[in-house]
Amino acid sequence: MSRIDPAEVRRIARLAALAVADDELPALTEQLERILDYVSQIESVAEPAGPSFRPGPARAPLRRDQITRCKPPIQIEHFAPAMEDGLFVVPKLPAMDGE
Amino acid sequence: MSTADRLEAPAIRQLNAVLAFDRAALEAQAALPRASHAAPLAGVNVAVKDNICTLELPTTCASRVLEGYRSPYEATAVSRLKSADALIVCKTNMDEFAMGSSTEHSAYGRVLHPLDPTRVPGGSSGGSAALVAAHVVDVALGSETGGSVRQPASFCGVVGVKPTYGRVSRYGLVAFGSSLDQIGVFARSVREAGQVVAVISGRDPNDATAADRDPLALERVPESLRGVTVGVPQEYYPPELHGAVRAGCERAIRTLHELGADVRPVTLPHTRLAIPTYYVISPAEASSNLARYDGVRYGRRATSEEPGVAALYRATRGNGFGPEVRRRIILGTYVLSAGYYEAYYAKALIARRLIADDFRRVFRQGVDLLFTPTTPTPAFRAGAKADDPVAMFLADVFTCPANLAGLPAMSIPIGRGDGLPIGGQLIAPAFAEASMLAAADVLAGSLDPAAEVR
Repeated sequence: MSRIDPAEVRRIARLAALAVADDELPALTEQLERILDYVSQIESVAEPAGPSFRPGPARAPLRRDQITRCKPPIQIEHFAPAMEDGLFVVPKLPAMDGE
Repeated sequence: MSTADRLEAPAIRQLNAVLAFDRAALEAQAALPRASHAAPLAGVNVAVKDNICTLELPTTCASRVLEGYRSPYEATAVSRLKSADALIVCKTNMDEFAMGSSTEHSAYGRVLHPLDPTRVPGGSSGGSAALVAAHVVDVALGSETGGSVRQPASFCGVVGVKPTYGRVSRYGLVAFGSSLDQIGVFARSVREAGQVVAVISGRDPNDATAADRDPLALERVPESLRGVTVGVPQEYYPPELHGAVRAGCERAIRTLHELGADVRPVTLPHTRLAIPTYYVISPAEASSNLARYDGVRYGRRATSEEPGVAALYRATRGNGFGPEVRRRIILGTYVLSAGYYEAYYAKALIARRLIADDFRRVFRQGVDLLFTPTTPTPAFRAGAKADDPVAMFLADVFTCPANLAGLPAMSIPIGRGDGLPIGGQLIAPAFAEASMLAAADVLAGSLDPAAEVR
């Protein structure tokens, strides 16, 4: 049984906001199928008793509650592909493709 | 020859290891007054992987989507290097967004192995590894999510250190897998690598996942390894292990014995789950982290014939990301989506814990360090794994368990097979970098890394 088909790849790509060309779809589906087959080895693991694992500090270290100097503001207009009057310019929102 | 001259030499340019270099900026840095003659890294030349933010040079993550991007801030690790009087020389080529094990997945072309141009330098920090191996810079920063410092260090015959998760601030490291990412160091000696880790480590108010600890304090290098217990996990020596890698490790294990270490076999039974677990967790985190590249606030925007903002996102991301990054974003989106989350992501979290528990158990049983091969083979040929993503993943089979468990680990050159470097890996308990580096220094001092081991 295949784990993923081209229609599903297209749906997931849309969820991920990624354009995928029609001619890329068969190879991409085949590669994802192989990867999912491989990672499915973990399907059989059983939850052990005890606390779960997370890397890093158990609690985020807190900064001292004192006034510090702010970082200078980032000049966003240097970075944005399109800006007008201090606002990001994007295509019209009503055309959100009914998603 | 100056560093700039070395960088611009034809033989080095051919490696394609550099994405950004500015001779004037480097000369201006070198002309700045020194903080102190005693500064720990005075005059040390550092190359920085292109996913670590710098003010003087662009930060593109070797991606079209960030072509020409200049960060408005710099990584804590970079600031600390500059405070220690190190010189930031250039930005290095890498697999796009650090996704890959060969530095073939860069939008700016592959990096060549410094000893054999038909081979890969490893990845994803391949440019950093190649420049250190080619004696162009003294040290380099890389980053690790599943082995992206140790694996290229092994392929190129240099030292590569991945500190404990949280030892070095991730502030300014472009996020890939946030529960795995850690900045690492390349050098030609264990001592230099340790000095750089000592400078860049320590608490950072800008990174809540940075451990609330002082910077790493290095230990005096002992004369022998008496009193050190080294575990050799049998799962890291499978029958199909490359002959020269096996021979190199056997020689290193004999040397560990001769140095007085108590070497004993151990078992880490969930090792086989590491790659499948890694290839669920890291794409899941990547799919979330890379959602920010949408062509609206920064980065390159693509135009779309379809109307609407969603079409703009799809076009920008579809054109801006290369095939490997797109594959992983789709994989990550899939394993996090309704209907598949329990089967993949939830299971991967359980497997991750089993892998971490394996390490905890052996370290509790009195093992101080683990010794393993860093990679299953020496550097492979370019294109050899291009069509098979799973085969490429397996290049990280011995490195990614330490990332999943958040442990410090490093690779040192332990010999050569048919002229190609072989790396041996040490893995230590969390925050035990000092003793790991001291033991590595002793071992490295007793092994000829240029000796053929077959």
